[in-house]
Amino acid sequence: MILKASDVKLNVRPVCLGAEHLFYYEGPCRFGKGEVLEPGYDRLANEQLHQVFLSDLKGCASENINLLPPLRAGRTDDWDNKEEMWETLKEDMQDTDLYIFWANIALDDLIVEFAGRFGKPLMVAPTSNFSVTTDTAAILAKKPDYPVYAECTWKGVSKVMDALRVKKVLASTRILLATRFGSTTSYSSVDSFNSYDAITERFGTRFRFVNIHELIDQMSPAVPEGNPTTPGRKTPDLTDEDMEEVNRLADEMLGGAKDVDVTREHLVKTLIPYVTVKKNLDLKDCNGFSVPCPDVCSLRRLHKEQFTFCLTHSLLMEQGIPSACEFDVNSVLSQQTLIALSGKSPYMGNTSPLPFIDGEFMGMWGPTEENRKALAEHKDRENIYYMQHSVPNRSMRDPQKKEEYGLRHFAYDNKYAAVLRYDFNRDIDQVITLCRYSPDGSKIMIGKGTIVGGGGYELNNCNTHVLFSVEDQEDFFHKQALVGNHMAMVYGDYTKELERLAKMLGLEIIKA
Amino acid sequence: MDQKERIREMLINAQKKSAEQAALIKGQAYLTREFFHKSLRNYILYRFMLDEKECTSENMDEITEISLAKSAGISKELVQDLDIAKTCSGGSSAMTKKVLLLLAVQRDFDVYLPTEGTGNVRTLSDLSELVWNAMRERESWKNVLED
Repeated sequence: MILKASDVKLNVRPVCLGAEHLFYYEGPCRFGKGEVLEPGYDRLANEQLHQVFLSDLKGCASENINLLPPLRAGRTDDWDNKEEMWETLKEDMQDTDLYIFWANIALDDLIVEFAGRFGKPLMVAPTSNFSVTTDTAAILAKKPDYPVYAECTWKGVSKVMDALRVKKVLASTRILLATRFGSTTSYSSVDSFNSYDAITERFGTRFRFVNIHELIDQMSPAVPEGNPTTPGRKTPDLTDEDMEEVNRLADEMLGGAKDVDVTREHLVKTLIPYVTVKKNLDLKDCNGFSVPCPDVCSLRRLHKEQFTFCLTHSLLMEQGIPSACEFDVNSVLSQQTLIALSGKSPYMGNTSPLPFIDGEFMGMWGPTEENRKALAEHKDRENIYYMQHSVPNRSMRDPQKKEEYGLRHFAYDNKYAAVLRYDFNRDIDQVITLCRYSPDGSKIMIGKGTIVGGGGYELNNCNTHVLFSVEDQEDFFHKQALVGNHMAMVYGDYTKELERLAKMLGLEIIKA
Repeated sequence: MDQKERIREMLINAQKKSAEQAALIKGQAYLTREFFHKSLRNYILYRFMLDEKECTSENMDEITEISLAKSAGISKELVQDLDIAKTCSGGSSAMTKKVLLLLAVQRDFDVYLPTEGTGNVRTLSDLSELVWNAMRERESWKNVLED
């Protein structure tokens, strides 16, 4: 099963605490008049307050938050603290991601005890008056890294819940990595994660592996003796149903493309790896993918079979499944972070500045000479960046829609391997959010840019790129040097949400 | 007659009329659901010092707010007690007024309103239904209520 980020819900359990007075009396913490002081009033009044709490919580929860039935607990002014109550609070605890308490005076010690007993993430409702700061400080004093979150508005609670959901998505991410040599080193993205254990420890993300030769062997129909790399073993080789899907996709893509410069035969050959990878993701319960680029290229098997993995990455990202070039596991997780935060389909690629010196842009990659001349007139020409890889998709602006696109080929000489083309010039002035983790996973760079154009739509090979301006190119570059090359991006400004998440994950934030 | 006395008379009159409605309900040898709903509605409106014309909503929270606004318009003293109460519970004056009504209903009709049920009361009909069901649980009411 492929568990997409959009399938992951945060299970939130409201807990309605209430205190009841058993006698009529007044004093330093009991005031009111008439029947308000009589036994029986508190039971009904607490229920009214709980209903307001539940209604407020429901009102601020986004569609990805699963509100569980509320639990009710509390005490009388006998100051009772029964084990039976704690048993009630343990209901479905394993499936609960966050507890939100409503409390009032004389109940705070129960929340602190809950934290000590169970260690579960919790918040106190902002309408619980002074209990929010009281309880949060008390819990943090006992355990400074306890997952307790204080907010003074329901909007703040909503943001915490959304960030916790992203955290859950990262912990539910299982990345399938096709390997040729070692499983931990990329020969081109050496800035990928340098320790899977450290990433699992911090984010909960898991890693699964498949040998590239075994994967490529699966891209043809099964033979009785088994595949050459796994003789006699049962493997998920290409089936008639797979080919039906490949042909359906080829028809759909050719039919919908505005410009086509690839043959149907080559498109079919590029869609077979996509279907094979997706089948493997499903079989291995993974929801992210990467495969090496130069070291798989040099196998010459891609050349023989006439495909690249570019279209696989595009189509997976389009569906909200992170997938990165060049065995860049870091980029897969960066994409997943943005997907979970925004609900949008990402793009990734070589991310580099275009320094403008003496009237000319430096660097050999990115825009063509002609485009550079036009860009030299741009008001932000001294702060231009580009992101380049042949893996755009059709749903970056809106995951529910497919925008206009082209289909071209990757290999110049033999014209094989279909790649998607998207014209970023259509999105000038759109704000984008970029991110990437540091190779050790301890930092996150959070960037914001504005699209100023694009290029490579009419070109083949790995030429698609988006051009964007940043606030300060040099500052952005020096900060990027701490995290690496392949940044991931989505449309829209999610920088504040990313910061909140980063704090929750204990990451050092590098903002540009 | 000064204002204080006028207010006192209004309160006594409202209490008297709502008590009459409660007595009317309790005096029935055979209580139909329709009669009960109508009489309970009158009981609530009298307690809230509202007439049919002023009761422009069926929503309990809105009716409570209308009643509060009317009381505040007559005299600040009429809502002062509710303000005092809210500082202890953390709830609003309207919430306190609603809870006091629930307490009065429990007392006047000798029923126990289940906690979660009271939380789900949104309209006059919801409250009427809740009280009717609570009466069905009482031996003293069982032989009187319509099936």
